[in-house]
Amino acid sequence: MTGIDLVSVDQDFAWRPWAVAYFLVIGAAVAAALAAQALRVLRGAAAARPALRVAAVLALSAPLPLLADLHQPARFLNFYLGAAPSSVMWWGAWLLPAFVATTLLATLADATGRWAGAGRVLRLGMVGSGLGVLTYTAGETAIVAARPLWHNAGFPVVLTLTALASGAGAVLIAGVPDRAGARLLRMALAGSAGAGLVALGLWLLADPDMARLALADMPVVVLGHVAALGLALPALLALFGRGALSARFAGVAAVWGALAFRWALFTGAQAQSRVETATYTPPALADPATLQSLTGTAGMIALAAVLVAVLDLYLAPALRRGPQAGPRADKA
Amino acid sequence: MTTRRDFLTGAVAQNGGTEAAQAPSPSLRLPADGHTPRWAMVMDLRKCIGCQACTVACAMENNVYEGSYRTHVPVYEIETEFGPVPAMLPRMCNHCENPPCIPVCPVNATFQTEDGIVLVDQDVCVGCGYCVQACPYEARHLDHDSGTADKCTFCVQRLDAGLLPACVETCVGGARVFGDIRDPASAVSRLLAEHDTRNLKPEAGTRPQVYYIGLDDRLVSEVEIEAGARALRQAAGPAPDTTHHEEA
Repeated sequence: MTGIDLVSVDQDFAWRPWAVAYFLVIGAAVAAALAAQALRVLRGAAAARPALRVAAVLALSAPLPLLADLHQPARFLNFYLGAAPSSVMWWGAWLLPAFVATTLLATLADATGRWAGAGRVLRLGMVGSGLGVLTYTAGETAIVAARPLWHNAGFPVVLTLTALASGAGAVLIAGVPDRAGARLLRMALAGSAGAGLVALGLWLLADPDMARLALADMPVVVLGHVAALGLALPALLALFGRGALSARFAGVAAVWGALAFRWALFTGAQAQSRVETATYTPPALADPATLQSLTGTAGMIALAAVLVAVLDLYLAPALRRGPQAGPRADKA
Repeated sequence: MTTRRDFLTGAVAQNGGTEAAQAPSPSLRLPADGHTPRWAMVMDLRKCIGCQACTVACAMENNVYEGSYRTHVPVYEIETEFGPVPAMLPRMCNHCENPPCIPVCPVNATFQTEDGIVLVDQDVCVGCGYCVQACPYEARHLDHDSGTADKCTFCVQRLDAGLLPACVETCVGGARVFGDIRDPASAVSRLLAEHDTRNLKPEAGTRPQVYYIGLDDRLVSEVEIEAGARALRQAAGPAPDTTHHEEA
């Protein structure tokens, strides 16, 4: 025995469940955008359309949980009133709106079928800013030396791979009519989930200190859950499953795996006191803060889906008709 | 316009241009010989009895939200050749020479003054909690009232008024000694010269400016700990609501 803390204090988590929701949604959004671009190159614009719509819905939803996790959300403009290049989060504050804007405008260009030249530039911007978002989200956590569970080579790799799997999974849930495109997405999901499983194993099992640290605040059942249900199952379903239903199951499992991994690592890392004088109580799944973040994010995704559907069904056709629409065009 | 940062860093007194500003300042931060101090604190653990008077004085002076602490004194029980003994370890912001909380701040709300005090501009802070994650000493928390990062300021408002930090002034055993390490005649400089002092977590590379006399090896870095008060508290369930309810 080294010591017993006779007097210590309770502390709150600095990053609440909203942060878990943000990291899930933005990671899936970027992965869906990358999938859309890959499908466009390999299979054409029509095959890429569902992935681009999913990227738009998720990109539109991501800022809400991020703002909600700020304890002073009304001050978000302070990010843009000065330069803080030493802060990864400051870079993220610029990359996120760039990604959201280029994704939404690329979706608009695709839906209307106009602005072909600008559409190319927008898609390039979407891919570039998306890769930047993936880099900043992984780097933002990995550089925090005071959090050993984040500050290592394994965590950002698994974070990124689960993001890619969840993005491919989200597109499969939405449905991909193009069969060859769907097969490519299943391969991408299987590859990223399988690589994530290997990386998770190497990260935790190759380093006894890391395994001890992880198991200190994350029960084996949680890590086993992430590995089995969140990574292995979707990889196997994507590889060996047949039909749209198994593809959707694989997608749901991949999204669930990414959520479980973020939940485990964000709560596990923050629950570890760095000086052993504070007690951090992780939020339970039924806590109001957790339910608020889940329902809030799900509600925002639903609202974004409605907005993108309105764009597709009403706004885009009107814009597509352009100057030919209206009484004068009818007379001609 | 006088910003909060100007006020906190004492620039008001230096740049105000008013008659009041030109009068001799009582501030400890403006030494008569004109040199820039570097503030530090020495904790003489031989004198600390864990009475928490510093914890209370800090909370009262700085209006710290109930249940949060800018400083407190964890008490450990450690094994010695004479049996288990209590060990007090006052903790607070270390006002590091290389503070990891500053570069991560995305809005430049947290900064270090010329005399080494790490402060938070609470008018700018967005409450992202990144600095809370980055501090290896858990010296920061998010204030429930303001929604911004909060931490020890070495009672900068008291220094500007010519007073010592509240925790130092109230320490019944004289265990907390505060002063300017650039002044060889100061009490902290003499203690540092006369004693073998240690910092917390030297491996973090932060160069803390809170020094300890009599710090047990086992408390310097990661403390291997068994469940004590923590287990009792967790068994007892959640803490009661500490928010104040005003009578209607």
